[in-house]
Amino acid sequence: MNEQEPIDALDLMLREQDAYIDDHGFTRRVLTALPRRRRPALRSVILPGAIVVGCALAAWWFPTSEILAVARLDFSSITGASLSALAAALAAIGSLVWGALALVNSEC
Amino acid sequence: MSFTDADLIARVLLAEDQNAFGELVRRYQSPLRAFLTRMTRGDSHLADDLAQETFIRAWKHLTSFRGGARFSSWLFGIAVNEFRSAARRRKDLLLEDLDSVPSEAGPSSDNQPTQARLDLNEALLRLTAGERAAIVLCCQNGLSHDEARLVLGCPLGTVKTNVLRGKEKLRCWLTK
Repeated sequence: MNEQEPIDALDLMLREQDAYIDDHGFTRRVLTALPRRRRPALRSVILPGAIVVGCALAAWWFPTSEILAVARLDFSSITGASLSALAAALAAIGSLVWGALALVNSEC
Repeated sequence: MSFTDADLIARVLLAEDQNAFGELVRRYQSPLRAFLTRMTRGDSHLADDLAQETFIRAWKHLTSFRGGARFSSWLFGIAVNEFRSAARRRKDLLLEDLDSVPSEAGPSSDNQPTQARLDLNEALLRLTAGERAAIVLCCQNGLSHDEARLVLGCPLGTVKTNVLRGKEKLRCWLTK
């Protein structure tokens, strides 16, 4: 039992030494520095929703025939309207990528 | 009327109640700041900065607290991560990783105190970071070895070894 004595005494010393640290305004400083809490539920709906809408718009407006015409170097079939549709489709794809990256960042 | 940690956490999550979070901070600021002061070798300003960052991180990520562990253990886990980040920026803080097991060398080797007898405070500072963390968590804050394992992110055997070796060194230094 004597073997145990120094261990018990040490435990006691360690516990006694763990004195309470007064707050001294620490809690107030923490509360002042708190950012607004994110609303994960809302974000988790908005971002995937935006991605789905972006995908739908891109699929609907994507000027497949004009892209194929460009690929075939058949410039006669490309019109101003189809170029603006192409620009809109590229913007939709960009938004889609942006939304996906934002979603990944929000979950990190 | 005193609320449990779970009550306060629910109020924070449901109503963004800063007063409820303030009560949690008041409850745990002392053990957390004391732990971080030990880990930063007595730098109370740095310890307070790390403690503040710990609570802010806890506020941001409170939804990820599952309630399976004690709230205090979860907070200590965040504090350990904050300390590790600070140690990566300031090499003087961490001479060895928290989850390392010191070599077999006992208290009579390299880091032997020069004076015959040390006070406990000084003796704790002479332990390795891993031993100090394990001793402060388990012996001063009442965490089980298993809780300390989760907080420190290291194997159970490492925690047990660090507690045993740390205590052995302390006993030797304090009774010499």
